[in-house]
Amino acid sequence: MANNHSDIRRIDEFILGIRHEAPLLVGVIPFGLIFGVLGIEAGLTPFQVMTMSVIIFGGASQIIFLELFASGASPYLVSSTVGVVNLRHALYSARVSPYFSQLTLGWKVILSYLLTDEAYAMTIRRLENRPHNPEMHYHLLGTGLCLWSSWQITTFLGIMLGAAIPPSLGLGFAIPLTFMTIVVPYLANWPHFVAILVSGSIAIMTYHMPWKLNLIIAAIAGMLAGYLAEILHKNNDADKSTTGYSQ
Amino acid sequence: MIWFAIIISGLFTFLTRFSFIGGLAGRPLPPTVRAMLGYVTTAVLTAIIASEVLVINDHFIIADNPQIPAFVLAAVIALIFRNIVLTIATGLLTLWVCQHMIY
Repeated sequence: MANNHSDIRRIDEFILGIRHEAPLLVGVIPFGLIFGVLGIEAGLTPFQVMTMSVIIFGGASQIIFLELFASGASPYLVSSTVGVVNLRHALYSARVSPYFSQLTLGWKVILSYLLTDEAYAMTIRRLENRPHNPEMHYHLLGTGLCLWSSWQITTFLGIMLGAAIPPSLGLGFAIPLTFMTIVVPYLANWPHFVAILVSGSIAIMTYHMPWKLNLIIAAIAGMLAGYLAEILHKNNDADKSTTGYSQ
Repeated sequence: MIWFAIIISGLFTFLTRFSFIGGLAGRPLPPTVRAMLGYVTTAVLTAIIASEVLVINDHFIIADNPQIPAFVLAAVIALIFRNIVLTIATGLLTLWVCQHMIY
């Protein structure tokens, strides 16, 4: 009986995860298609594009990879930039880790691999707001696998699409456009706005530097500027003592 | 070379995600680092956007740069509709029109 109950709980959590993740696929599907198309445009083989989605499994960072690779950056610069962009996942890892401390190493490896922005966003809400349940890691398995399969399928379809589009159309400009759609919602947030302004200006002022070092310098300056703006902003609002946003 | 980059990128990304779940990180992240990490994505993406749109063939170009009107129009569409496909279609079409008719 006990076994039966925990089986049901596992399936329930898993299904709940998929249901929570489904609405986010609206944003993921075009993104995966675009990645597949751009991968082919950047001169990678279909196999390389597909494998990148499996090995890295990180939306924007994979497009950054393409952008740097196509511009002739060294593999060291490409992988360190991808690594830096994905550093935010350490925050997610820290936040979910207390809930998964009892799991086996195998589970921890699988759940870590699946810990993307979108899966984290839905699963952290379940972990923090719903009753504790020893099988609740199945929720992350549900959100994670839902996202994973969508990402792989859309990458594959994008590769097919990319092979059919003539390179002369110049789709490379789709990269900054794609990134812009990610950045635009942050314009309304003051510290992020400062980070955007500083990072963009520094990237232009230092564009002549070798090995695309301007990107790293601009990114660090932008991060610092955003952080400083956040502190000054908090000090200004200290008397209001509201909780604000949770990024 | 590209395989090296893919595998190392994947390894970095996985180890970051595994850091606290797998107990690799000895202690919690300092609040300063946590706060700064919140700005990584916007900062890196903006740096790439700026150098893609305003630098052509290693030259900083503002005048006669068809990418600027295309980008600005796409940004307006993105702000209004929050739709990735519509935004990219607008940007690419405008760029194409600017390149062939105006510049």
